[in-house]
Amino acid sequence: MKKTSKSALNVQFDLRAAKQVERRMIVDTLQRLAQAQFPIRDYKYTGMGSIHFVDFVIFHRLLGIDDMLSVEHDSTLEDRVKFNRPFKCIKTKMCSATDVIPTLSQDEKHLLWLDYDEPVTSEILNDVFLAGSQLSTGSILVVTVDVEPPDKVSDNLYASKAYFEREARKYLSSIDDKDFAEGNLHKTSKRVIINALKEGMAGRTGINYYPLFFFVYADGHRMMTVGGIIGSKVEKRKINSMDIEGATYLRMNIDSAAYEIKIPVLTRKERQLLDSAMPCDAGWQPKEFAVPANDIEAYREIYRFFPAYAELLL
Amino acid sequence: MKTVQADASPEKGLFLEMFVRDLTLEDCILDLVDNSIDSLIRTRNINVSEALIPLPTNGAGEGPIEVKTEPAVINVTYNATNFEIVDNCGGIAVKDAAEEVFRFGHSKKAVVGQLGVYGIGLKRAIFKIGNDITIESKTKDEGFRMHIPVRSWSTDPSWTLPFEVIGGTADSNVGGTSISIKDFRVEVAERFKSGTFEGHLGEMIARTYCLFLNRYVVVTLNGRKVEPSPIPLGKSENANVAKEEFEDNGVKVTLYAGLAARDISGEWRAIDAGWYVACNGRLVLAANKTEETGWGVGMASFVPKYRGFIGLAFFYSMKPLLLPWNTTKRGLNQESLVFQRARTRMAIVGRPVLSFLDNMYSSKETEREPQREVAEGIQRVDIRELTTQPGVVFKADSKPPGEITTRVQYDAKESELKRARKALGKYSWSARKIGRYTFEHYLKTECPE
Repeated sequence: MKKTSKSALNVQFDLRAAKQVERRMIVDTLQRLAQAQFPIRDYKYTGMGSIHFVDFVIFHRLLGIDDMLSVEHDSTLEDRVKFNRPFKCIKTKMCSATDVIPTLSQDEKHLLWLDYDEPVTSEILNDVFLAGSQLSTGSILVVTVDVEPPDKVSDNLYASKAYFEREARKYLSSIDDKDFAEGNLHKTSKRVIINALKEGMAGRTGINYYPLFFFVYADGHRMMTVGGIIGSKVEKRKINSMDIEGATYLRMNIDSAAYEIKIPVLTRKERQLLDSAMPCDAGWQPKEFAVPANDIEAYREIYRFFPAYAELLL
Repeated sequence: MKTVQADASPEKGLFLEMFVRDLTLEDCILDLVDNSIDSLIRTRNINVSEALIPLPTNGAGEGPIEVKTEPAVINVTYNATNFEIVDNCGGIAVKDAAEEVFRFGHSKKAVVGQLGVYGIGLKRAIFKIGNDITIESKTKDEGFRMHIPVRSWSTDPSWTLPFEVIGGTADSNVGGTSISIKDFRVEVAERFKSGTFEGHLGEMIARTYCLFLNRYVVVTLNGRKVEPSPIPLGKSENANVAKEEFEDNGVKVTLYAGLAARDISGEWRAIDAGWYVACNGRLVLAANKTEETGWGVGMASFVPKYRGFIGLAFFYSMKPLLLPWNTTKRGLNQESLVFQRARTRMAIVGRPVLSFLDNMYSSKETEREPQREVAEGIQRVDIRELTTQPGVVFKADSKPPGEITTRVQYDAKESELKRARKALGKYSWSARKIGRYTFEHYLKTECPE
């Protein structure tokens, strides 16, 4: 029952720099997986393209995926969704992710991105559970949620804890007040999502979740993305053979800390100069101007994925 | 070093006391019915997974032709002093009685039944009910009679039960077993006296054996025939029944989900809604709405708007130990791997039905019209008809939703209503009708389209 429309209508989607870096990092990983014998081109992509379809465009252009389905829950957007569909190979369906997951074929491999723009809810966790049961071996699941305190206006110190106990009680496992501190909500959200996924995978002997992503970023709201492969020993072997050189953003251990996508503020001229020195050694500084060392460090990690924005007068 | 053998032998009286503790009298009687049906399954060579095959299409040469045999009969009777269960389900062979039937737990070589699993049901049931037990059983060739005086036997260190061999019936159709129990345990005597016990037991039999009753077996309770209480799953031209089948670790699983047929007053009863789970055709859970069947874990939590939901989960295996039931057969073994997998699939199969109901009750009206039309067309199906259907996802074709309506409600003084009735000259009109009429009048005069 998820609405994707709220942020879609508020924000010019393709200008969300950190989100775009995240998409490009996911593409980078999928290319590496393709090299490691995952037939990514033949995967079916199901996402929430809203009226912008940014992820659909880059997955089609850069990966060649052409079996694509975008689900949109807000039926008032139907005409705009259809009008904005960028390629013929993208099918659109006006329904919630909840309704589409049970219909995903178990004979196909899926790339499913449950890209919500709200904090974890019991419905989101049910979707993740259903995905854990339905997605075929070798499929990739990615889940994005908001990790701001869910109830910011409340002056109750325990509002986040109360919220999680209401929405995710079964998947919380242990409860420690620290888990609900603002800086830890991304970990707690990840934990309940992974627990719901594992619950959905119950009884699938020999099948495990192999993590790939655990991103945190903020273009405005702080968001978290977690994702990985539902696979058997076969997939595990292929994942182990994947070239991970330079992919510092990967989080292939379930307990690893999140990768924080940081976007340093730089001008176009500054970027051109930095780019000419990339990839740079640790501790490198430009001679022409001073940039904080951690900005250089951050830039070094994201420059390959970082879009350049310019005004285009059409 | 000296080794000493500690005495770990059971103290019989205490053992019997613990053994019968955790089950209800109803469970005991169902255990005895299970034994009778198992005997029937053995004698008539019934394949329980076929107990659900489609009903025969008569004469036209299509479909399987059912062998016409009279259903067996199980008579359960009780009064203040005596409980009896008598069946003509084939009887127990003397060899089996001597070597298997009275052991506590199956031996490794035992040929187990389809409904009896652990080899404890019969013993647990009879010891639970009373202290003076007589069992008589006859097959075609031979028979036996056993009397167990429980009070004296429980203090006797020996673990054997003597019986007397008698003649058979010479006709397999009337072979059968009778169990008669007197000298009830105190709490059991009280339950038998209760005014609601018979009704409750009858309902449980009607539900638990709804797939067997009248087809393979007739059960009477104190002389009255128990009619099967069918599972109210339904379908129509506009709404199908979802189905999924899979096999896991030697257990065949078939899942169905759909809408309930409405009852005679045209309503869905929350009491009937939920998951029905059967192992080898015997119902283990009926109308379950708890986490046990996935509500609130993967499925949404059960709320009243889901009262039109019916789901069935059938588990079959020739090895009943592999089935996910617990020892009382009134619940599921949550650790069972096949059940863990099934539970997640139940959430998948059931989800589209829940979405239909979400849409049906999404507005401020009590029921939205397009969905209500679908719901009213639902007719109950014989589950056996569904067994040949291929796997499908639930789908309901409802017309596009009409304009959403909102209920308008307000209070008016009786005197005001009276004035309106008088002005209209409609003294018999209900308040509701007057409300609607005056609202329409306003629309027509003040804001015409």
